[in-house]
This record gives sequence, C-alpha cells and structure tokens, in this order.
Amino acid sequence: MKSLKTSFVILAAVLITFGLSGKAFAFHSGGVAECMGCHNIHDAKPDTALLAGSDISSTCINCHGATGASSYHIVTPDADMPAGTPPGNRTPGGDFGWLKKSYTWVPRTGTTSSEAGEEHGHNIVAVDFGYAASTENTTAPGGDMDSTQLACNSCHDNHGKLRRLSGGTFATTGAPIIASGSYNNSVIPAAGQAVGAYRLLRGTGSSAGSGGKTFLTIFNAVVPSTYNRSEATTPTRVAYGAGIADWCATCHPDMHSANSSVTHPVNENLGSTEAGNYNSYIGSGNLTGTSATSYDSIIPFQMDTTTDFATLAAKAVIDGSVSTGPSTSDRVMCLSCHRAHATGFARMTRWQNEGELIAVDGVWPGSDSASTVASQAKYAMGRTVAETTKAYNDTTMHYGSYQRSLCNKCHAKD
Amino acid sequence: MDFIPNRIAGRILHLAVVSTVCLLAVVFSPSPSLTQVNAEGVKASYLYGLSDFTGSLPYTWPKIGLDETRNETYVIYGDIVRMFDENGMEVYRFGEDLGLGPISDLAVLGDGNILLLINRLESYELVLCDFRGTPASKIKIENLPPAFSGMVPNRLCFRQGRLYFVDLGTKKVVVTDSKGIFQDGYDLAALADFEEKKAGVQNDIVGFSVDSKGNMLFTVPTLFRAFRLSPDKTLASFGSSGSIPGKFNVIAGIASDDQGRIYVADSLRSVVAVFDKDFKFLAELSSRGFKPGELIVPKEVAVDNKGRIYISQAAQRGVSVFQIFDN
Ligand code: HEC
Ligand code: HEC
Ligand code: HEC
Ligand code: HEC
Ligand code: HEC
Ligand code: HEC
Repeated sequence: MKSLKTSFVILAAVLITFGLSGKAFAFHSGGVAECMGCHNIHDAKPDTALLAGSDISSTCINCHGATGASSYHIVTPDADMPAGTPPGNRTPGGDFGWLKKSYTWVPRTGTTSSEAGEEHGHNIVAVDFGYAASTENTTAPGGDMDSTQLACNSCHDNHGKLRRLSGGTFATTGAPIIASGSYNNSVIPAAGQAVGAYRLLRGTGSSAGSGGKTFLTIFNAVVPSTYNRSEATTPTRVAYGAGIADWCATCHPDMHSANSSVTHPVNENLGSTEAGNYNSYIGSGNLTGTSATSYDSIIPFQMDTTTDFATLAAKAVIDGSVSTGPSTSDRVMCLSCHRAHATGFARMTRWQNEGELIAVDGVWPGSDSASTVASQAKYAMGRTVAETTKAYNDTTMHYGSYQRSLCNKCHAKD
Repeated sequence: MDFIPNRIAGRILHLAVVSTVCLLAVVFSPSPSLTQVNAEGVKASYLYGLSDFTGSLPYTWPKIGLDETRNETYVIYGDIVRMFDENGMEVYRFGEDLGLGPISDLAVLGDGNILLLINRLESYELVLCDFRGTPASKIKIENLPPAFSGMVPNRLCFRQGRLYFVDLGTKKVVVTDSKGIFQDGYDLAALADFEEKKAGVQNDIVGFSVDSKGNMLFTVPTLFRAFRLSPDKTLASFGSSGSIPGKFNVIAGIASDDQGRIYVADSLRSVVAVFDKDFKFLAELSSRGFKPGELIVPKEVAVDNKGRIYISQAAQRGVSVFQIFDN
C-alpha cells in the first residue's frame, strides 16, 4: 500500500516536471538546437553575434568540454589530465585535449626531442579554455585558410541546416529535421521528414562558417550510437562512405592526390594488392589474417563511394559483429591515417608515425612500462603507458611484438 | 581543538577579513555587477579569489570541496588537492606524489579524514586518507544491490554522515554510510525521463549537490532545468530557457545555503541565479566579465555555512568567493 502511494507520488512529480518544462529532447537533435543553448539574447557582449562565450568554440566547449560519461564529450578539461594522464575521450574524431599534451624526451645522450601539443591536431581557438591558434601553421597546409579563424563551426554548421531528406538527398531546407541522422539506429526519414547531416558537418549547400570555406561535398558516414568508449575488447566501427577526402580537401586542396602528385593517394580504390594486404595483415611478420576478421578501427577505410544510409548503418557496430575487411573497390581516405579533431600523435595521425617501432616487447611503450625495452625513451617518446594506450583508444596491443608503422596494414612491407 | 565560531561571530570575523582583503582586491558592493532584483532578494559582495602566495589560482574549472565542520575549502585540480583557510589562502596541499592520477572528487568526513574518489572511466578507486592527505586504506562501496553494481561514480558528496556517489553516465546515485555501506540507491533516469532511448539523445546531469535536508539537487543543462529529489524520491523541478534573469541559458553547478536558497550557475550568461526554496527567482549574482567580482563561464558552486559562495570558472580564473547577505 505504502509503496504504491510512493510510486504514485513519483509519477505525479515526473508528470508535473515535464508538463512544466514542455520538452524533453536532445540538444541539437540533428538540426538547430534551442537558441538559448548558444545565444544570450539579452545581455551578451556585442562583439560575438550574441553568443555569450568569448568565441564560437568556447560556446561549444561549455557543453562538449567534459570527460567520458556521455558520448558527445570531445574536450577533456585540463583538470582531468595532469602531466602523465591522457585526455579521456575516445571518440572517432578524437579529443582536442591532445593539443595540450606536449612531450619531450632524450632518445640519446645529448639530444632532446620534443613534440608540441599543437602538432596533435586542429587548433581551434577557444580562449575560455586555453586553446589558441596554431603558431606553426599560419594557414591550412595545402590551402590558404587563416588558422586564427579555425573554430568548431568552420567544419560543423552551428545551426545544423543541412539535412538528409526521405529519398536520401541532401538540402538545407525542404522538410523539417526530426532527429540526428548520424547513428546506426537513426530513424529513416519518411516523406515530408528529414534527419540531420552526419555530425552536423557542413556540406553542399551549407553557408561558409568561420574561416570562410564553402563545402562542395557531403561527408557520408554512419557511427554507432555509443561511440566514446574503450576499444579494448571490440572496435568502434564507423562506416565511412563517399566524400571524405574531398571534404577535407575543402581547406587542404593540395593535400588531395587529385590536385597533387606528391601526396599519398586518397579516394582511390585499394585494389587487390592493398585490399589483400589489409585482409591478411595481423602485425609485423604476421600475414595470416583473413578478410572476415581483418577490420581495424585504427586504420579505417572508405566503403567505395557509398552514399546509402542503410548500407553504411549495417556496418557501424561496436560489438564486433561486423569485422570484415575491405573489398578491392573500397578506398583509402584522409581518415585512414588521420582523425578529424586531434590525436595523441604528431600531425594528427591515428598511430605513431615518427618512430620506427610503435610497439616493442609485446606492449605499448611508455616511460613507466614494466618492460625495460618499452620504457626506453626512444620508444616511450615522453609518454606514459596510459598516454600511449589512450592514443590508440585503449586498443589492446594485438599487433606484432615489435610492431612497425601501421602503414603496413595496407602495404605489408614488414 | 577546532574552533567553530557561531554564525554571528563568524560574520564579525568575516568583516575583519573583508576589510583586509579590501586593500588587495576590489570589493564590489552595490555595483552594476550585482543585480538586485527584488526586495526579498539576496545580495552578495565579492571577497577574493582563492589564492596562494603567488596570487589567485590560475585554474580552469577546478572542483570545490567544503569541510563544513572546520571551515576549510578544498580545491581539486588534476592530481593535486589544495586546502584553503577562511581567508581564502592556501594552507596545505597534497596529492601530487601519491601517483593516484587525477582526483575526481573528495569528501571530508566527520572525523576529518578525507575520502578521495579516483574515476578511471571503466573503474574507480576510493582512497581514505588522514587529515593530512596520507593514504591509509582503500574502501569499496559494500552491499551494492545488482541494479547498482556496474556503477562507476564520478561525483562524491558528504552530508550528515552519509556519502553520496553519483555516476553521471548511468545517472545513478548511491547513498552509503561514512564507511561505504549501501543504504539507498536512486536511478535518476528512471525517476525523470531523459528520453535517452532515442538515437543520439543525451541529456547530461552536470551540477549535483546535496542540501542540509538530504535533498539532491541537480541540473540538466540541455533540458534547461534544475531538479530537487527528496530522500523519499519525490522529484520536483524548475527553470526554463531564456536569457533574462531567472531563465536558464546553459546551467551547471547547483548548491543551496542553510536557508534553503538555491544557487544555479549559468555558464553561458556567466551569472549565478538565486532561487528560494519554493523555486521562486530572487536575484542574480555577478555578471560576465574579466574584472575581479565578475565571472567567466562559471561551472561549480558551493555554499558554506557562513554564507560564502565559491564559484569555479573557466579562463584560468580559479575560484571566486562572494559573501551572501540577506536583503
Ligand atoms: C549550437 C550553438 C547555436 C545554437 C543552438 C544557435 N546558434 Fe545561432 N549562432 C551560433 C554561432 C556559432 C553563430 C555565428 C557567430 C559568428 O559567426 O560570429 C550564430 C549566429 C547566428 C545569427 C547571425 C548570423 C547568421 O547566421 O545569420 C543568427 C541570426 C542566429 N545565430 C540565430 C539563431 C537562432 C534563431 C537560433 C535558434 C533557433 C540559433 N541561432 C541557435 C550558434 C548557435
Ligand atoms: C547546451 C549544450 C551544448 C552546446 C552549447 C553545444 N552542444 Fe553539441 N551536443 C550537445 C549534446 C547534448 C549532444 C548530443 C545530443 C544531440 O546530438 O543533440 C551534442 C551533439 C553534438 C554533435 C553530434 C551531433 C550528431 O547529430 O551527430 C555535434 C557535431 C555537436 N554537438 C557540435 C556542436 C558545436 C559545433 C557547438 C557550438 C557551435 C555545440 N555542439 C554546442 C550539447 C551541446
Ligand atoms: C576540421 C574540421 C572540424 C573541426 C574544426 C571540428 N570538428 Fe567536430 N568533427 C569533425 C568531423 C569530420 C567529425 C566526424 C569524425 C568521424 O566520424 O570520424 C567530427 C565529429 C564531432 C563530434 C562527434 C564525436 C567525435 O569526435 O567523433 C562532435 C561532438 C564534434 N565533432 C564536436 C566538435 C566541436 C565542439 C568542435 C570545436 C571544439 C569541433 N567538433 C571541431 C570535424 C571537425
Ligand atoms: C574548415 C577548414 C578545414 C577543414 C575542413 C579541414 N582542415 Fe585540416 N587544417 C585546417 C587549418 C586551418 C589547419 C592549420 C591549423 C592547425 O594546424 O591547427 C589544419 C591543419 C591540419 C593538419 C595539420 C595538423 C598539425 O598539427 O600540423 C592536418 C593533419 C589536417 N589539418 C588534416 C585534416 C583532415 C584529415 C581533414 C578532414 C577530416 C581536415 N584537415 C579538414 C583547416 C581545415
Ligand atoms: C596514407 C596515410 C595518409 C593519408 C591517406 C593522408 N595523410 Fe596527411 N599525413 C600523413 C602523415 C604520415 C603525415 C605526416 C607527414 C610528415 O610528418 O612528413 C601527414 C601530414 C599531413 C598534414 C600536415 C602537413 C604539414 O605540412 O604540416 C596535413 C595538413 C595533412 N596530412 C592532411 C591530409 C589530408 C587533407 C588528407 C586527405 C586529403 C590526408 N592528409 C591524407 C598521412 C596521411
Ligand atoms: C588504407 C590503406 C592504406 C594505408 C593505411 C596506407 N596506404 Fe599507401 N597506398 C594505398 C593505396 C591504395 C595506394 C595506391 C596504390 C596503387 O596505386 O597501386 C598507396 C600508395 C602508396 C605509395 C605509392 C605512391 C604512388 O604514387 O604510387 C606510397 C609510397 C605509400 N602508399 C606510402 C604509404 C605510407 C608511408 C603510409 C603510412 C603513412 C601508407 N602508405 C598508408 C593505401 C594505403
């Protein structure tokens, strides 16, 4: 009797709660979020389009600046990452906190190597949180965009206008956005409905954001709905489709192999050699793998020129149920080697590309490693084991005991 | 041995402090940065930023802990815990050489011992230290019912002999005695519908505290709403989106004083809104700006039993302390 009464009180209270608030949705929900989440429409400082943050990116980090707990956190607060502790988020785009992780080490007596945090990714400007423009790249390498303008909304549409309509086409209007369209379990829009473009990314038809770059490509991809997680047991498989390299090349035109002969091929079919290598590659000195289980989220590939949501969604899993490697028509893309935000490694690569060996003595290296080999400065490169491990999204070291660069996943030269 | 001044003595002592601090920092009394909204409102004046001998703490979004019994304030930042006296000066610090990694939260227990919470994303540790911060033992939450067994807390509060562990990810709260023995558990996601079953929907709890009556206060910024959950599991809530005083832009920390007034930090507008115990809006403290007494992206708030409010901020502005006055 008593418990019945209590639960009634709870129910009543809950009803009142949401009756009063009148809403209970996500924030962006694939489109423009509630204006008050970013605009202070009454007493904002006049210099920033009524945004109350000091700048655009600070306004986003108000909510996106946290560690773990929820998936959409992509900036670890400084308080959570003292020296030796890595940023905590493990999203596909990567944690901007890596931009604050500078490393120095002494590989040989008399020499000191260093790697500035700002080399780890896209230096968005967010003064409230201590993120400043790159001092090294004054413009986007291979392009002309002014680095001081780089903000979250250079790439994402703060108003999320781009949408996927029921037929799968993209437009900035035409039907209301009912939800996010990023996830493997996102609804398929019915006639008269639309869902948001992948990750609210700018694309064909979007206006230019901070920095003034206009995109002429759609970034086609689908992500599992839980995506900020340890990849120790199973990978977070994002299904990338058409357009990735062209999308990045909006700001980096000369980094695209279509525009330059001195850069690694992108948006090119893997072909039988590279696809074959990928499928048989397990680690340095081990080519016994098979295509059924060869997928590796550290070295993802693009599913040919797929734009179909359902085809992509079927591959976006976190439970290891889809582990198949590429076919010969799948492609190498910028995100085969880079992440989109930041990583634990120089030039925002997905794995260590500075040294010869990325793992030694069967483990990820780190200055505090129990292994006398893995703790050597030339392998640890100023990092703790926790930092190295986190930079691989906590992936268990499953490659060769003395593992060379993961370029070999496609090239098998080791 | 501890000297616990009563309320009035505290105020007098406090005035003396204010007058010395005046020389060092600008004290805003009735200034534009202090919005006084109505006659029932409250007023606050800026006292100082928590400091060591080199100046104010240059921290962004540090965490705050209060030892109500001994009138000491704790600031947690990375792997360091710093302790401040009643004048806002650092008196002690520990943590750096313990090798625990970043400390997520702490609770100062009734006996002066300090319980540290270390959240490692997939696991956590509770380290019980003496009053100097020397680790003495590790404790565990005991007798957890299965519904709470997977929880990995990231927040910790201590109120009237009880420990409150909050897992912001699963939105579960476990209440234990001071030894960590389970007493009660709350599944906030079951009590309040966060609608997270829909693809991509996430509505986080950001601010959390427990008031002197054992009510849990928490904020969900993306719902533009603050909540009060009483120990009998009755849930009440208030707030709506907007940019005028009393409305919410992006809310964060929440705390209450001994009169039941509720303080809610708004990170976007850079103010702290004050409500009475019936959720009636009373006043707004401070405003956005880089001057002393103004706020930049406030995150956490805590109120001690002398009516002082501690506000952590971004832009390396550390923790600002204001004295609250009844109007
Ligand atoms: C996720 C954050 C966010 C939300 C939510 C948001 N805005 Fe904006 N808004 C921005 C940013 C960032 C700018 C660009 C400021 C700049 O470029 O200086 C902006 C600029 C504007 C501008 C001026 C420039 C332009 O694009 O026309 C208007 C008008 C505007 N927003 C209206 C709205 C309205 C109306 C809503 C609610 C329906 C809204 N915004 C919701 C972030 C947001
Ligand atoms: C008031 C808090 C808040 C603010 C401010 C905010 N976000 Fe978000 N963001 C969220 C939440 C909550 C989610 C997850 C739920 C959702 O997608 O609505 C999210 C999700 C996202 C996603 C993934 C969306 C998807 O559908 O895949 C992107 C991209 C994003 N935010 C970018 C931004 C950018 C850029 C800004 C600043 C212009 C910003 N956010 C400001 C709370 C916020
Ligand atoms: C250079 C372009 C770029 C900038 C700048 C950028 N993003 Fe992203 N972001 C992306 C891309 C591309 C993805 C999708 C990554 C993927 O799925 O591999 C993404 C993904 C995300 C996600 C989903 C989680 C993840 O990491 O995969 C969120 C949330 C997000 N961005 C928010 C932000 C916020 C907030 C900022 C500013 C602090 C920002 N982004 C700046 C390009 C950018
Ligand atoms: C809106 C423009 C824009 C887009 C889109 C963009 N970038 Fe960049 N990128 C820049 C700018 C500006 C810089 C230089 C500033 C810096 O290094 O922080 C830069 C720098 C880089 C760097 C060098 C980082 C370093 O630390 O040296 C890499 C690598 C990179 N981008 C890769 C990518 C990839 C991969 C994509 C697609 C996911 C991409 N970019 C999309 C603007 C962009
Ligand atoms: C096969 C792997 C791979 C692919 C594919 C790839 N990159 Fe890179 N990228 C790298 C490596 C490795 C470096 C570091 C090179 C170095 O240090 O000399 C780098 C460096 C960069 C830099 C920094 C250049 C500088 O001068 O600082 C940018 C910008 C960049 N890449 C953008 C892109 C973009 C955009 C794409 C897609 C159009 C892309 N990359 C595709 C591996 C790749
Ligand atoms: C996802 C697969 C993949 C990864 C990872 C990859 N490559 Fe490649 N690479 C390719 C493909 C596909 C080609 C084109 C082969 C062809 O045309 O026959 C290629 C071509 C090359 C070439 C020959 C270029 C030319 O113009 O013929 C070099 C050199 C090369 N890669 C180096 C690297 C390096 C170094 C890395 C690591 C930083 C790397 N690759 C990572 C797929 C990959």
